[in-house]
Amino acid sequence: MSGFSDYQDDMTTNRTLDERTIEALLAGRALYDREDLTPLASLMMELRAVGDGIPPEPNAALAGVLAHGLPADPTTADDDLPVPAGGQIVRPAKQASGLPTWKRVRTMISGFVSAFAAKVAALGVVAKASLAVTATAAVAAGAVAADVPQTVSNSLGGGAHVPASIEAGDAGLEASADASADADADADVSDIEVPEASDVVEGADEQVDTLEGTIMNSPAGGPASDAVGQAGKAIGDVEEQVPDDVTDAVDDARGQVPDDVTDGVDDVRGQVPVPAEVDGAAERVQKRIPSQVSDTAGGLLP
Amino acid sequence: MDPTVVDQLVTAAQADAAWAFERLYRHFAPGVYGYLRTQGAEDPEDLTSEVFYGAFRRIRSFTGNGQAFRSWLFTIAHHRLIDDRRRRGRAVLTAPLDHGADTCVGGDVEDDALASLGSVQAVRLLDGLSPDQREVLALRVIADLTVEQTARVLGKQPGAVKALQRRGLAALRKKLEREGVTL
Repeated sequence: MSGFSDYQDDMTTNRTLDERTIEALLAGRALYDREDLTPLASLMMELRAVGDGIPPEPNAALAGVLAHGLPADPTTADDDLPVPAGGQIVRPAKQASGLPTWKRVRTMISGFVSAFAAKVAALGVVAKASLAVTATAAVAAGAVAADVPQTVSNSLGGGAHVPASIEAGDAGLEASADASADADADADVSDIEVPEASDVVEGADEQVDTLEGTIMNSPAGGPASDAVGQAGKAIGDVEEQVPDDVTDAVDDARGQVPDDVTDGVDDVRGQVPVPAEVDGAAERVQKRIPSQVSDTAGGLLP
Repeated sequence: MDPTVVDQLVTAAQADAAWAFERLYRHFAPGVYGYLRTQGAEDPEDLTSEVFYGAFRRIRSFTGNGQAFRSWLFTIAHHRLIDDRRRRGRAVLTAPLDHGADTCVGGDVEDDALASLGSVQAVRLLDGLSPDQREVLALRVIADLTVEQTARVLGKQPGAVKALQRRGLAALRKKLEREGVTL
């Protein structure tokens, strides 16, 4: 039987390199207890010597700095782009900050339609009826505006169709106005067609997508882009051209609805379970509304 | 050189003192040149000049002491090296290095020749490592940077630098044992 140290020479001496040993090797410190690392330590010493010695000859530019300091204008040093004296410097055309006009208008249109649909989804019966009157008047006024291009007019007409279909599915303004204090009893949850409202919201969403896709795919500066630019102006004009008497009439009608009816509707609305798809659709649409458009729409809607 | 002297030299160079530039160059240039040599720069002499010229031009924007200046200088050298590799259209060193005799100190010719031989041998052994391992060892040994400074120069984590230096040393150790190289 062999003893523990009989074959010591056959045992490996390749011990691992711990962090302390590594740092000693790299720093060139002596390793008294690691004779196996002597060749490696010698190699590190030689490697350290690579960074010693005399410095190489500086090139002309550096020699100038070493002799006289930095040039007066270091920005015109040889590794920068030289500016020719008296040379004509051609710069790119000035760019206006922010998005181009056609894109701003496009965003405004899609945002406006989205805001409209979202607001409609959140409205009550009476408010929807009022909205129908406002939207019809707005579209009528828009049709009067001569400078609205046909394609945009069609798109806006499609957007304006949304509240019209809601009007058909809900109680009308007249019915609401005639409602008496017993509206609570008349208001039947089953009469409020929530799934239909959901369909409307999703339909509006698709229309916005279609409109956006059409505009996105049109080349900048092309006819569609011009049309969008004109549409932006037209929207502003339409807002201004809604006759005061129409707005006043809506306000009057709204004012004639007894408070108890409004309260009753609110109560009923609170009892209606909102399907998840309506919530989801409304949320999706709401996320796409820029704050300015949302504010504008908020001013137009009850 | 005393670290405080280096601090003063950096301050003087920031005040555009030509003598400070000259002394800083004499102190740091051999290390920068050696680092560039081990990394396979095509023209390490010219590249060294470019590194210092760029550093001196921007020295007014530098903040820190002499040790920070060393780290900053090698960061510039590292970037110049990358530019040099891109310029040559290859990312890593592929040709064998030919370094040596022109860098040695004056004096006894025989001693110089032997010293040169050792350095050449060391550089040749370093060539067998991966580019990352070679760069880490060069910055730790030739540039005399700490793990943290090396990590900052290379844009790596200190842990990664430690792993690279450990693997690099292990590879060199194996190579020395296998080839029986005597330095």
